[in-house]
Amino acid sequence: MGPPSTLSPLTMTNENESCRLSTVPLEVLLKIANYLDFADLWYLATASKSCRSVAHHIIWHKYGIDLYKPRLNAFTHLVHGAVAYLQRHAWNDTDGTHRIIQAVANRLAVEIFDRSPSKDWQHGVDFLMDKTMGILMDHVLMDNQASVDLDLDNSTACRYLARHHPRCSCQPMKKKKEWHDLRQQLKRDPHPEWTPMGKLITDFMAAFQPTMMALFDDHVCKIHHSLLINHLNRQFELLTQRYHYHHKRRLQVKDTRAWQLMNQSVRHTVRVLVRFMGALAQTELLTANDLYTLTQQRIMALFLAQQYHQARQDDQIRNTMSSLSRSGWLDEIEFQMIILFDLAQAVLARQCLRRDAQNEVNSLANMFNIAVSDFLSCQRNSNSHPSSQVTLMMVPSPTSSPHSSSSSSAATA
Amino acid sequence: MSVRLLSSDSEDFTVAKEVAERSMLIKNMLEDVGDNDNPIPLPNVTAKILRKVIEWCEHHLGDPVTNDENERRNTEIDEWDQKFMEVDQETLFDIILAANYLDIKPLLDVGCKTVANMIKGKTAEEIRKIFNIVNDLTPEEEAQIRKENEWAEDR
Repeated sequence: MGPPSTLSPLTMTNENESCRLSTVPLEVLLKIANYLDFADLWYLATASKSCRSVAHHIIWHKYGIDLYKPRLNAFTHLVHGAVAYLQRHAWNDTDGTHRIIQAVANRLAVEIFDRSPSKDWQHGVDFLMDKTMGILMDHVLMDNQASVDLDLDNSTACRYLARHHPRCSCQPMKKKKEWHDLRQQLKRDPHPEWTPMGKLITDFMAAFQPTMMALFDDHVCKIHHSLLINHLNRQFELLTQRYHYHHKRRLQVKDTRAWQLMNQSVRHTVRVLVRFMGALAQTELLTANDLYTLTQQRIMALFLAQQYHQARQDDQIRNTMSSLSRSGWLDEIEFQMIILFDLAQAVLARQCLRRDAQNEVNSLANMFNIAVSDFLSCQRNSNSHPSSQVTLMMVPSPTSSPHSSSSSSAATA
Repeated sequence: MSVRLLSSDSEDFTVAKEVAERSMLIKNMLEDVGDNDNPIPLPNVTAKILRKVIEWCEHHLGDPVTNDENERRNTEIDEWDQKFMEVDQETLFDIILAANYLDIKPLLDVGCKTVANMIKGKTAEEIRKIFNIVNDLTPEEEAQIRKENEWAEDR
């Protein structure tokens, strides 16, 4: 289903003349929409028929969300309405935020309850929760506010990396000291920076799940958890496909600027998803072990260095990576380090809060540390390809990991 | 050096070349036709709007070009531009359309930000009031909208 072929004329009429918005071409409407969030467009759609037509058209083009058939997709509309309401009224963390989030969770849970059969409700609930979660996750990934917070220069990891990046620094690397500094920084401030929408949706899910449990029974928890893992897996799979496809095209693309912008966009979405996962890991919704498993099974598969070492000789990614200059390799490992740093920081924050993630802290710190080593060796060697890879999974799993601290993990690298 | 511009209602404007070249459309036209005394016809811009556009271009003559993504998303408008945009909606949308046609990106940004600020954070009722829109939704549609948007009863 897609948008109508032409935008129906906007007849936002006042008493004597038609409103000039009707003459604004779509490209300009989209420009205006750049400064608006989903909630603004959602509420614009409730002003009149013509506003609804324009707003739904913009939402389709900006977010890829189809709101053209409200009666056919009543439940979907309801969930989007919930997101718009949350975005408008619970965006800033104030005293009343929790009450608003809980009120929305209550109403949505009751809507699901009313739509589910009384016997064998599991399938109905599974279907509706799956729909809900898909929409919520789409909103997290479409969050255009996130780009401000994920500005590469702003994150702790990037400040750290920028300080020691070979292009920025002429000083020889002092690996142990750098790691020590970073550890000190993490100890002082283990709280990662969440994206605003990721934090909001996490808070909502954390209120929604127990509400659903109160209406149904404990089995809802399992459904919720498995759906959440499925959706995270699906999103990483899609992003991995996009990232790899994009890099396979690198050799054919003539417009390198456009290619770089696209690359940045995919990487940005990966970071938004990783940060969202980190926020979820601070709640009961996701354990540190879930986070680690997702890292091993999904996130590491995304990195190109991993593909390079596992791919067959004729593989396109291998060819692409072989053609990369040293700075290209450094750039890819840097991206890997940033993601691993975000993950390590999320697990460390959980460990500070719940004291149940020591093994995962060690393992992720170790992975990050090996990535740092790769980065340093790649930087020192004239050979463009790193010799050791974090991606080869030489890291012990959390269950088999000795009870070493992150400092001892650091020392191993 | 000056350039002559001809509005859709046949009013002739003479402006400094640097001012006219804030418009990418005019800049490209000037490059194509070279030095020429003939006025450049602008069939999509009336004299009233062209006057406003020239006023804006003259004020922002020395502005640096910014491609900063964050700057682009920022909805803040500087004081002079805010005053400049304090016009009736008819004129505001005409300026936006003229900026789009003449390809003056910074002016288009200011216009779009102004309209976005009129919508941002507003309820349906406030939007209707600001844009002078008649509520033409049927009672059923209103009921549906209420249902989709009533999340906390005490708000």
